[in-house]
Amino acid sequence: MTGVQRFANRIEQIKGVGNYIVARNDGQIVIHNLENPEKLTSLVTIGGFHSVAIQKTLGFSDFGYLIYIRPQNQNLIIFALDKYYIGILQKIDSNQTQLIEDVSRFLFNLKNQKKTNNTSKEEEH
Amino acid sequence: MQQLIDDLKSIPGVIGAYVFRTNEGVRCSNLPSIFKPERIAEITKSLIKIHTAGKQNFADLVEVFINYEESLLFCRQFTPSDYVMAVCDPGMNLGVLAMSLNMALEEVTSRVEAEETSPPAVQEEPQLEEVEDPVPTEAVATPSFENGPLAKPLEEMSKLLAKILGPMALIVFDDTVARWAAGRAPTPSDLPELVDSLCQEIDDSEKAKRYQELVQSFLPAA
Repeated sequence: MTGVQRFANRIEQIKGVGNYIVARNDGQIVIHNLENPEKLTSLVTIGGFHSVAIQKTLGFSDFGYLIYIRPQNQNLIIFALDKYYIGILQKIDSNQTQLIEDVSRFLFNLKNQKKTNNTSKEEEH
Repeated sequence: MQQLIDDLKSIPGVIGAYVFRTNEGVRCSNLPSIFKPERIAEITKSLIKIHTAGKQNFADLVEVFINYEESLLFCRQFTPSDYVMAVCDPGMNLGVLAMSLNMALEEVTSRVEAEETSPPAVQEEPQLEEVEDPVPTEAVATPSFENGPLAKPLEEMSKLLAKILGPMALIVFDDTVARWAAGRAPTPSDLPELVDSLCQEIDDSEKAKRYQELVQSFLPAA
C-alpha cells in the first residue's frame, strides 16, 4: 500500500466522509474514490485557490475550510494541506460539525508532526 | 437592501455584510471601515468565482461558507444577479446565520422580484475581471514499483523522506514519483532526477541537502 493510499484510508475512516478527492493546487488529481472525479476536481481546486486568494487579500493567517452547503447536509467541504486540496463529500444527514473537527484534527496533526520533525532535526544540528 | 444587511448585522457574531449586484458592484455595505472598497472588490471577485463554480456542480447549492482563523465569510445568491456576503466571527453558528438570513431575505426577495421589470430567465454570469484559475488535468497514474530493481531504493527513499517531511511525505513522495515516472519506464539511472524533484518539494535548502546525503547510498554510482 502506498503512502497516498494510507492517507486516503485514514480520511475514509472518518465518520461522515462519503467521497473524497485529493488534488494538487495545479488541478492534478492525487487520489480519489469517485467515479467521475474531473468535474469535482475543478471545483475543489478553484474553491481552494480562491479561498487562499481571499486569505491573502485580507491578510488572514490560516484558511480553515470552505463549505458548499446543500440540502440534507450533502455538503462539499474543502481543506488545504500545504500545496494540496482535500475535497470531502459529506454523507447524507451526517454531522457536519463533527466531520469538520475530525478532519481538521487529522490534518493539523499531519502538519504539526511535520513541524515537530523539522524542529527536532534543527535541534540535532 | 440596506435593511437586509442591517438585519444581518444585528445578529450576534456578524461583523458586517454587503450586497453585490452583477454589473453594478457593491450596492450597500455596513462592513467596518477596515474593509477598504478595493479589498471588498477583490474578495468579491473570488467569492463570486467560488459560488459560480459551486453552482455549476450543484444545482441545489444553497450557500457558501469559508472559515479562516480570524473570520468566517458567507456568500449567498438571492436573485439571479444579487449576492449577499457577510463577515462573521469564526465561531459563529452556521445554522443560526442561515436561518436569520432566510427570514430577512423572505421580505427582500419578494420586493426585489417585484421591482424587476424584466427578470432574466437564465441566471446571469457575473461580469468580473478574469482571474486565471488552475486547470485540472488527468489523475496521476501511480505506477507500481513493488517488484524490480527500483522497489528497494524507492521504499528506502520514501522512509527517509518521512524523516525529513514527517507524515506529509505520505502524499508528497507518491505524487512526485508518479510525475517522475509518467510516460516512461524509469530505471535506477533515473533516480537522481527523482531526488532532485523531491528536494524541490522539501522547500528548505538545508533539509533538502540532508535528504540528498541520506539517499546517496541508494543512487547509482556516478
